[in-house]
Amino acid sequence: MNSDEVLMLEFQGGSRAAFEELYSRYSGPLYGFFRRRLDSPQRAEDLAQETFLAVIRGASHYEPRALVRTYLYGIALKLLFAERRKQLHEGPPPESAPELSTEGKQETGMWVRQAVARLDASEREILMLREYEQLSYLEIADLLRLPVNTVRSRLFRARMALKEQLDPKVSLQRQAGSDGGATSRAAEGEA
Amino acid sequence: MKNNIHPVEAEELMAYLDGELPVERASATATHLHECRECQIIAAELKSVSESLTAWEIEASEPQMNAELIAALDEREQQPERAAPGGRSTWLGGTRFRRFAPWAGGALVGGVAMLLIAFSLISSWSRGEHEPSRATALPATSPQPNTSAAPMPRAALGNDRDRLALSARLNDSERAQLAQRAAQADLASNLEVNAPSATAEMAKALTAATPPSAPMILRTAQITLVTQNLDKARAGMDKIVAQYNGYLGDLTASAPSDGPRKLTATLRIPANQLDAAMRELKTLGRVESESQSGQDVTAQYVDLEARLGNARNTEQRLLDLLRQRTGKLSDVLEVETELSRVREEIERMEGERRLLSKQVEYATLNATISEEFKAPAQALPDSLGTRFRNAAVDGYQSVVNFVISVALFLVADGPMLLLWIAILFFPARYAWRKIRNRDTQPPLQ
Repeated sequence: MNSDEVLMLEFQGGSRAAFEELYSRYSGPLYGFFRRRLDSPQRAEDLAQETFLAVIRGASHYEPRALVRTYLYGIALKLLFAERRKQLHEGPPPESAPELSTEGKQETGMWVRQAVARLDASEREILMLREYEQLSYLEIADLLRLPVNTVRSRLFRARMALKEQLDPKVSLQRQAGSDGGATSRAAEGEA
Repeated sequence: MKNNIHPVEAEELMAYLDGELPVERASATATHLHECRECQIIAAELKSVSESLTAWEIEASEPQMNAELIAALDEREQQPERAAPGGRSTWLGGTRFRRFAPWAGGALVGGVAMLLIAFSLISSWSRGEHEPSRATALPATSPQPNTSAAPMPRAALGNDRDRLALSARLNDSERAQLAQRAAQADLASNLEVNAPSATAEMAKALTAATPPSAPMILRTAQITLVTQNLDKARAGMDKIVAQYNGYLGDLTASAPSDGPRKLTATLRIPANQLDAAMRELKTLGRVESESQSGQDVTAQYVDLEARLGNARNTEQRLLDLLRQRTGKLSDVLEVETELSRVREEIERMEGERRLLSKQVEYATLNATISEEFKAPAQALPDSLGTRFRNAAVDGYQSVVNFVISVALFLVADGPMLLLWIAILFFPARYAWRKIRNRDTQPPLQ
């Protein structure tokens, strides 16, 4: 099996099959990248496609100095930041809505998602790049233009903060705080 | 967790679990983690956080490319040389161009095809017509090989190799040039087959293997001299070696009683001064035999340089891999093992290169110097007095040796001798008396 870098060089040389192979490898992960960061599944799909569009248009500029994976997520991050800026100016897209139901495993997913959302933005991005995109510390440092040690420290802080967020006791206290007196009374009754 | 208690920080522990620690730290961390209960708890918490995050699942994406992507690919296929990076339109207007002038695409393709055919005809004509003239023109050029560090076109290298096989009329230095270029072509093609991903780096390594500025000839000479005075010749040889900044590699001297004295030495003389040193050596005596030989090792040297460059690139890539990739400890260890193997190879090749350079820099001169054979002087006989004196000394020595031997015998075997005497005394005396009585008694009548 050819490496990503070989496929990219082959695509530079005009091989459509190489691009299709790259697409099949990375379309899912890139969709996941956008989907976890945006509310709209349709917008995530579009941005994943736009990432590949940028690859096609910028193929002649690609140099095998960086890993293709880093290259792709670099483009994806730029598109994501542009999308967020756009949303700031224009407001969120009309179809944006929580997509997850409150059943079974998805309920746990929602709980994790909310816990992640409460993290500090810079720490959250590092944590997500590490956990979901499986990037190395160095790759994350390159993408976010941070020192590797900073990435490591922030990742550790994010994980510890998330551990606290996912702690059932902390969660219960937070819920009690947000629901007001009725919920706290119910919790006391259970205790 | 405090540093004075734990040799490993919590962050390091996390990096270890992520496979992001260098090997030496990773092994220390693994050892500590095995022993420390507190760190085991932290590790379990970190793993638990990662596992919790897997609960956030997303729905599967549509694996098909959308129309825009397919159109962009088609566009790139049709105009691969003008796939405008970063821009949404090409200089011809992209999709608008196709919409308004569908026939123009065909005309463009036709034009490009004609240009390509014309170009290939021109290039084949130039190969057929120009290269032989270049080959025949080679002897007129300088014997110095091409020292340009610019990458050599692959096609040109291939042609050079063919010419190397065919051109027996070229002189040594020209053959050396062609051999080193052919070696580069071989290496380049091998690299392309074995590691296409690293073609660019390999090509860089190949061009970095700068060919030597002159043909590398390994010179060896041999001379046999006969001299009247070996000691003087030896001194003269030492002087010549010092004069030409050489050194004595090996020296064997022999002086048999029934033959001439002989000296065999291996001298290392700077290659460019070998001829002068030989001329000086010949003045030390009569030349019995002399020979010189040269072995062209240019291609070997270039090949070694290229392989060294590639090994260094491999080392760099492995280092990058260690720094950039995440993975299991076993993978990291595997990369480390490969890295040490590559480094060993680099050291070995550097050693070979140094040896080769030194062998080329210093010619080897095997010198054998023998002395003219002289019959040994006849010794005069000793005088009569001396002979008497020697005889007296020998007699005295014999007496002393005899006395010492007897004394030693008595000390060593005396007790046993006395015992035997005591045992045999009475039977012997009895036998003696019987014999004596029989002899003295008259026979019975």
